[in-house]
Amino acid sequence: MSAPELPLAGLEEAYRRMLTIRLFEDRARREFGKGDMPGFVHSYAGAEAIATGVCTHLGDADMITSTHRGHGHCLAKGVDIVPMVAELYGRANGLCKGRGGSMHIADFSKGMLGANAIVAGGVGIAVGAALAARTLGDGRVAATFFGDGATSQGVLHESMNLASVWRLPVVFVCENNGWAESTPATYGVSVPRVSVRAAGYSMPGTTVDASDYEAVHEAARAAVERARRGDGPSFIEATYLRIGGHYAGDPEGYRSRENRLAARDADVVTRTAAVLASRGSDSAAITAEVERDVVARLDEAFAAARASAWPDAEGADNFVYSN
Amino acid sequence: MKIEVIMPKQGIYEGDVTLISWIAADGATVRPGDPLFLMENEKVEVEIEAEDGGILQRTEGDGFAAPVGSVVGWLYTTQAEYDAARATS
Repeated sequence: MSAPELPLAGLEEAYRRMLTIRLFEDRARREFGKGDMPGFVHSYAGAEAIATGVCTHLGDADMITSTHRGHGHCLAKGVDIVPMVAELYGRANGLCKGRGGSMHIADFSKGMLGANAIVAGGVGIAVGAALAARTLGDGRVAATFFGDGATSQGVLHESMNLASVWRLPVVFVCENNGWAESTPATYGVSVPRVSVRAAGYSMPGTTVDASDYEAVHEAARAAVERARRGDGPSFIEATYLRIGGHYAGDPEGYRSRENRLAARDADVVTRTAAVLASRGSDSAAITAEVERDVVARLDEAFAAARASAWPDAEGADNFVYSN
Repeated sequence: MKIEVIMPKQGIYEGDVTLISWIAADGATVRPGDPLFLMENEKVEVEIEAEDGGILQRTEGDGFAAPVGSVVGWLYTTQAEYDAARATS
């Protein structure tokens, strides 16, 4: 069953956001190659519809937790590009004062509670955030993004069970790209569709194809509305194909050329541009406009980050304790 | 216009990397995604693909070892630019 068509302006807005994420990720991967960005980066390319389709139903007060692949979640939640890039370079003016980097980037002012280098590490945090929202009765909703690898972690079971028992306002979003780093889901996950596991926790579970933006948007709408009403958690499995490796520079020796090319064919950014064009939207003009604006913003952000000061070494233990 | 070709950082390793051997010929016109050279990075041999299109000028040879991010060549937009660069190098 296909999702209802969005109004054209709504789909255009989603396309702008997805293209922004793609441009950010392509640039981050490329700049990373120059060797002056510490640590790893993991690209969200291919998954743009998931963060965008979920976060479009959330406000700044709503909360999300992310993964090691967190740039797309930040951007979809409205985090500013300039302090994001400063954080990737570990600089003092970064979102986390240079202490987080790519894999621990966070912006509480936007309800982005953090990327997380631990597989499934964000899930329990989101359930805690949902418990806080329900206890305070403030109507906020939490969403947690995690990969197919996280579905084999014990904390997901505990979190889904508790969320269901307490009817917490949380949406579990499994971004299933078929690879837990380099381990295929066909090898490491016991079911072909992890959404069937939702039944074990008395919550609705659905699988959507994340190369179709409107499918993700509709599933997320239903899940967020259910959470907002106080009816409890939902589980969304959004399947996509990773464009590129597990991390920037992954030689992907474990992956077939066919699987890599299939990811290009399923690319939600180019697919959405085609859908828009077929419905009479001038998607080429939108693409040009977004590229112009975002590339200028990225030029500014990367230049500013490289010119920014490092954190003070003597203050390495600042912000660890509340006093 | 010319765009630099670098030995990119791959994963977390930040030490020296080695250009094992060029795949694309000097003067060849390459497109984004075309294989350029083999690089050794912390015991792993990886094929580095072109990020951009253009006419390739190799400025470093096989066996060149240097820190990640080092420039090993250029991609020129026009043949005239490539020829001018070759004439002065």
